[in-house]
Amino acid sequence: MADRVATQCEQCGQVDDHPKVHIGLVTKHHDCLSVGEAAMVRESSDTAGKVIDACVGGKRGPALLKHIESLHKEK
Amino acid sequence: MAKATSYANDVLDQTLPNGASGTVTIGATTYTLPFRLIFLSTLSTAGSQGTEWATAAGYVNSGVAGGATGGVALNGLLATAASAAAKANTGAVTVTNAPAGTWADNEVHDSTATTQKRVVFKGTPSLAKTVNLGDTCTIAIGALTGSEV
Repeated sequence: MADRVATQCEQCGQVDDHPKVHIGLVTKHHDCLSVGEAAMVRESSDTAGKVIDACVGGKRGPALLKHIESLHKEK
Repeated sequence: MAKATSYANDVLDQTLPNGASGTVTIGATTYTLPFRLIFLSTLSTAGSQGTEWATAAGYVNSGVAGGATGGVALNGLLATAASAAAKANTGAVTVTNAPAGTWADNEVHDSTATTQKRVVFKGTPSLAKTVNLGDTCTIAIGALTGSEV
C-alpha cells in the first residue's frame, strides 16, 4: 500500500503497514487484541467491531483497508 | 487552602459533564453540551490548542460546523458524577478509519457553534503515534481522567 508507514504490532511483533488499532500508546493488529481489548473497542464502535470481525476472518492489508472504507461509505 | 472533596467533585462535573444537551456555566462563561474530544497532530498548551486532524476518512474536524460537530461527542462516555475528586471515562472513545498522520494529543472542548470553547487537554509528552489511513484510534476506559487536588 503506497504512502503508508510500517508500524509494529506489540502483540505478534510483526512490522507492516496493515491497518491497526491504537489503544493509547499500544498498537496491535485488529486480530491481535486481547479478548478484553476487543470487547472494549467493539462496545465503543459498531464499525470497529466489524473491522475486528473482518480481520479475524482473514482480511489483511489492502483488503482490510478496502473493507474499512466500504464500511464508512455505508454510514 | 485545599479544595473540599465535595467542591472538587462539583468542579469535575462541570469540567467533564456526561450530558448530551444543555449547558454548564463556569463563572460568567456558558459551555454547550455535549463536550467533545478532538484528536490533534501537535500538542496543545494552556494558551493554545494543538493542530486538529483535518476532516478526512472517518474523522470530522470540529471547524467544519464551527464546533457543533466534529471529534467524538463524550455524552454517555463519562462517569455521571465525580467521586473522591476524580472522574474518568466509563466508555472507550474511538475513531475508526482514521486519517493518516500523527496522533500527538487530545483536547476536550464544548459544542458552542462557531466559537467552541477549550476545556482541558492532555498535553506533553506527545503520544507521537504514527497513524495510517484506516487505523482505529481508541482511548481506553479509565484513560481519560480528570482530577482536582
